[in-house]
Amino acid sequence: MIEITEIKKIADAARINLTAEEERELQGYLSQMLANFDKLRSIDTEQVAATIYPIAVESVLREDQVETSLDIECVLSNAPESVKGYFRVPRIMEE
Amino acid sequence: MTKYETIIGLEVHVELATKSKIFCGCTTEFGGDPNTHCCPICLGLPGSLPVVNQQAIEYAIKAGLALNCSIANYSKFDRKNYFYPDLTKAYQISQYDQPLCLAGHMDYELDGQTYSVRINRIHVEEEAGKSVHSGDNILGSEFSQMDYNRAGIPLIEIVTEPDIRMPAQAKAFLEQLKANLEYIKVSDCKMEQGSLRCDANISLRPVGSTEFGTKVEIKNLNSFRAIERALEYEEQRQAEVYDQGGTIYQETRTWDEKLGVTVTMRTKEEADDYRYFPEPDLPPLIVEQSWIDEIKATLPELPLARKNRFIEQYKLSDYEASLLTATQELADFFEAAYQSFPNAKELSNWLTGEFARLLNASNLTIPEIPVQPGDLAELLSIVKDGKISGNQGREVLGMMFDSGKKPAQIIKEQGFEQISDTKELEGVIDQILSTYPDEVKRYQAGEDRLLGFFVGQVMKETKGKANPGLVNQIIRNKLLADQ
Repeated sequence: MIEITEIKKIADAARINLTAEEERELQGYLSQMLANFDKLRSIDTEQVAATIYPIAVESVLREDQVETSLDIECVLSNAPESVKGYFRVPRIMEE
Repeated sequence: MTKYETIIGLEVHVELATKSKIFCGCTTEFGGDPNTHCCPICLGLPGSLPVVNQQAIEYAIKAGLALNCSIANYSKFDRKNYFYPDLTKAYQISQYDQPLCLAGHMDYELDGQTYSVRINRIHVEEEAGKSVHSGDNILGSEFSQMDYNRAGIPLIEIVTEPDIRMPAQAKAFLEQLKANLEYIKVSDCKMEQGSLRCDANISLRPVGSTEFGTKVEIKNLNSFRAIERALEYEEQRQAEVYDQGGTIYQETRTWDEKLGVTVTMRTKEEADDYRYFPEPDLPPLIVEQSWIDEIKATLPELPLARKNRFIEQYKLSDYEASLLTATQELADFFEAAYQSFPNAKELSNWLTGEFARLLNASNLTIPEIPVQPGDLAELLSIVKDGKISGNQGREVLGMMFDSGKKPAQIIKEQGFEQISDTKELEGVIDQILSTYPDEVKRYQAGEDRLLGFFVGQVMKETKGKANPGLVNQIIRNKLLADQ
């Protein structure tokens, strides 16, 4: 069983707020998930290379060519707030 | 202060000089109105796919080769996850466990000694955006304004082994590194524009100990001078803590330039867990040996090697050779001019003197000026033959910078041709001497300084064209012969 402190840490890393009830709920789900991975881990994969990429594509490279960027109106259209062409966000450093 | 040994390692971020960003076609040009060099890829909009810029990889390989690294035939990109508004995607595409360049080293000199620093790795990653804070500093601001023009500019991060032992060595290492990277033209290395940045790790240990002490990372180092000062401060601070029986905690500190101190930014407990994992949007990077060989063939002789060759081959002093090899352009110019004017000392004096002054004043780089190496060689030959004086030579060089005309043409147009014809000069001198009989008597009575007066009169008469050395000699001979 995964510890509640671990759940809190993961939630914090993902920047999501959980109620105590949600924490307990997730504790169950994640524990189940980890148990499944334990099952996978019991398989001998010594001779198998790690599969990182689902398809076999290598080194797709592009020429160093400048292309037109988006208009500033377009860039800022998704900004929650903007000021003088900048995205405006809450102050960065945490207490 | 020999109780402790200082251990320093550096992490250097260098922006690569590509035209477009690493994963998209937006320009990498510095400046520009905020957020005008952005597209769906560098803004991290859903559905956009990054594609690696080949030139960025080539520059990174070139840097790796210049620092004697081995280049990985297989490397991959990873996501470094953290929440910070300078990232549009909440992760930075970087390289984690399989970087492009590994295990190199770089030599540098300090006070006549050569040192070597091992390079642990060089990895390729994308630059983050830039925040403009509304307050005085990062700690005092109310909100942040984000500009993502910089987001996605290709970066390499060069990580050294902890082989540096003194703050002054860190500075010397960085200066050499910058010179090398400028030589191979992979970056403009402008610290003031942030295209070369450095973080430093520093720890102390008792002399004789082989175990490392707890290290502290220092950030916000904006100049080589700042790096040296911050490390000196931190060295002192840690020594005092240990002297008082205290403990150094692993933490990140920021350098406060104004106060000249380092301040705690975050401790290890607060340190980010980056949760690296392979970037699924980018296939692995396969680099063929033939490509590496091709890049290797384009590597120029690096500045330190070139400097030492200059000392050996041209019998120049260490100082002169350093000045001449400071940039590849100047060193090339020297060697090209030397072909037609094989007097290294004289050539060096001109290049590091008047030439450097004019270049500096023009705000141009060597490829941008109209003066060719052959032109300078021609001018110096004319000066050496005594056809014009050194002062006139400097004047001519100035006009060459301004007009791009050849020295012979300028000399002709300006009527600079020096009179070195003894007969012609004797005529003028005789005339002067007969005009000033009293001065002649006083000179012959021992007033040596009057020689200058006569020479001056001759120069005036000839509108400055007389060869001053020759005039001196003729006057002296005549006046002494008359006695």
